[in-house]
Amino acid sequence: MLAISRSVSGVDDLVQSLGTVSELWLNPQHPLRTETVQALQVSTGFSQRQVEIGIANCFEELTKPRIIAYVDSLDQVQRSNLRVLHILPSNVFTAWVHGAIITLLLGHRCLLKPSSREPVFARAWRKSIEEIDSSLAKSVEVVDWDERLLHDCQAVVAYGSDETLVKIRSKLPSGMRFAGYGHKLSVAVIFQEALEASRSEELLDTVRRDAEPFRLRGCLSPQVLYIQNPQWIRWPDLEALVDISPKIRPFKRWDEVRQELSKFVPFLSCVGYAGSSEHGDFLKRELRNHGISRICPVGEMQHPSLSWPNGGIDLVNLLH
Amino acid sequence: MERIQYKIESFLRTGDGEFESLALELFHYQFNLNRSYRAYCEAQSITPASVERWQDIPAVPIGAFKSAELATFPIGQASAVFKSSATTTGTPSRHYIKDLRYYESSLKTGFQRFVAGADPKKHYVAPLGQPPFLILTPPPSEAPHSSLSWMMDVVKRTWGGPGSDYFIQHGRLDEPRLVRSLRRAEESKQPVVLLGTTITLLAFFDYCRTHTLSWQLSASSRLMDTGGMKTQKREITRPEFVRQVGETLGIPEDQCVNEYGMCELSSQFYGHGASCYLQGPPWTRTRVTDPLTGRESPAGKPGLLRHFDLANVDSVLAIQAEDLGLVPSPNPLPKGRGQGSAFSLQGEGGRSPDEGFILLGRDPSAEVKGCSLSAEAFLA
Repeated sequence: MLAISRSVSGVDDLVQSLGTVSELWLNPQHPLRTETVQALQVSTGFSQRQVEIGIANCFEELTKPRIIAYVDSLDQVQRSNLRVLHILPSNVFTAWVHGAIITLLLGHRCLLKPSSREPVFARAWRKSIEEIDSSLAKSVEVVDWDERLLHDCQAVVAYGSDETLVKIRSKLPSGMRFAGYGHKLSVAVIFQEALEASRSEELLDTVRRDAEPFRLRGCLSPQVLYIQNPQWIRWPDLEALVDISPKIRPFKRWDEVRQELSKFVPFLSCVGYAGSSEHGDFLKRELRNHGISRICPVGEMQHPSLSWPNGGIDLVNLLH
Repeated sequence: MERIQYKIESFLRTGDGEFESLALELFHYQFNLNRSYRAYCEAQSITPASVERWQDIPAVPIGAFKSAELATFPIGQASAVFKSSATTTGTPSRHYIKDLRYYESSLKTGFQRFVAGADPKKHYVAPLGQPPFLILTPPPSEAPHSSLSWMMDVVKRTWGGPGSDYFIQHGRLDEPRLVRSLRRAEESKQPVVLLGTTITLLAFFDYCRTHTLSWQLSASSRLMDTGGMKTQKREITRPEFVRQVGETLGIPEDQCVNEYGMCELSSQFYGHGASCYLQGPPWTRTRVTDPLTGRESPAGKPGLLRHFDLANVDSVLAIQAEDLGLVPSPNPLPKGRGQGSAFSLQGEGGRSPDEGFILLGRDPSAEVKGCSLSAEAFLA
């Protein structure tokens, strides 16, 4: 039985609590959010706007209806009670939240070891849970680094460079469940029809939504934009809107893009696109064997749902 | 606060003071008045009541100076705003200073001690006199937000003799004018002091090689470079740099000083000769921390540098830098890696208050702190 069937005792309450926690984070007036935004500007080096966008992108996908839809979509899995250690990334401060939510939905205890470079958000998230549901907060613990933790838990979910992940994995007892989220990159393809003059403002706005968060350093940030019309002259407008602009690579034939994308595999995380739905379908067909976990319209790249198999990892399957 | 300001200013002027108690008192002051810093501390459940040792004062990541207003006063009242040079993020650090007295006192006492050599307690180099200062930076009028240009102005006014001048104007080094000044100094056997960024000096040495130029300056001439190897793509070791100084200018190794500073700190660290071993004045401390755990790295093990600077009265005294370094192990250091001829690694009673560190350079992962890889590597 699944896991997370809502008929299972306590799951509904859990979903309610987690959804309410997200509402707290989506309320710009909430004191905890206000204080955390200020503290995150210090810990991450991101501007207030960038921090707020990061928070909104994360928790808009974690509202009650979204969590319910996710839970309902899962095959039935037994809930259990493991200790799952999450070793968190640094200044992409929300990257771990989906994994933590899935951990709690599966009934596990969630141990969060923050990066020494970003010690703020994990504590703030736990504080928000404490505020909403103190009993649920007992399942979340923010821990300092201690190598013994690697032996005291039943699963490890870690974020970091490939080198860091290898180092962590080498310290784990054999057979320990492990999910490692290494560094990845994303790109977007802008097809001809999206470059029409009448759609310029819309295109700039959607690209900005993807390029602005995390100063282009998130694994879902489009570092390269492939554009089908090299004559399009509005890119300076985008550069004026963001701290760092994606690289612009013009193309005429799809083969040119495909050839270049082959260089990124297996590090490609998300491919965004702007253009017709036919072009979207075309991309999905073309890239289905490239191990890309996310293909979506531009403007939604930073909005992955709970069901996104980040890095191709099925976390529910690993942790149930 | 008047009392602590007075005590810190006195420490900066005289070099005498009680670091730990002042650090804790200053932390309390900054926690109360610096809203961003307070939010950062409280988010970690850290308050002045919970901090008993200077080592536990929360350090802000250096990148925070790009995104947050780290000031103990309304920034409209700043008498100076020092900004970092352009970075890949396009957003410079901004260090708001309300009262330049602390910065100036710290600079003068530190420079006197490590470069000018007139410290009555410790002579790292011979006393300087008042030679011309040949400065390879823009003047403050051309770089009003550059802490380096401001520093150069202070030391020029304090120690520079007649003929002192800036040699970068309108963004470029005036090599012919510098060559004329060096030629005059060589002919008159008058010592000079050259000051500039490492990268500018290297570019000048390249120019000299191309034009077959070199000098034998008076042996008491001196050179201070800053910026080190951390911002340049070109790889060069410290001994090789010092060798080029000798080859081009005739300035011996023991008259070369390397300065390490940043716009986010009000104090500077200095190294001597070909050594990468750096020391700061007694109102500073540096810890080497493990990037994974945030705890202190053992001697000999590289980690990230965390600086504590009491001269940062108006902002934050503890800064987590993005540079790697290590505390030398008690064993003798290999030549060229921290063995400064005039620097003692052993202080009185074990760890000396001004014990230094070996600078290893910028943390290569500093720019890629997100979860993204750089597309550059693939597109090259």
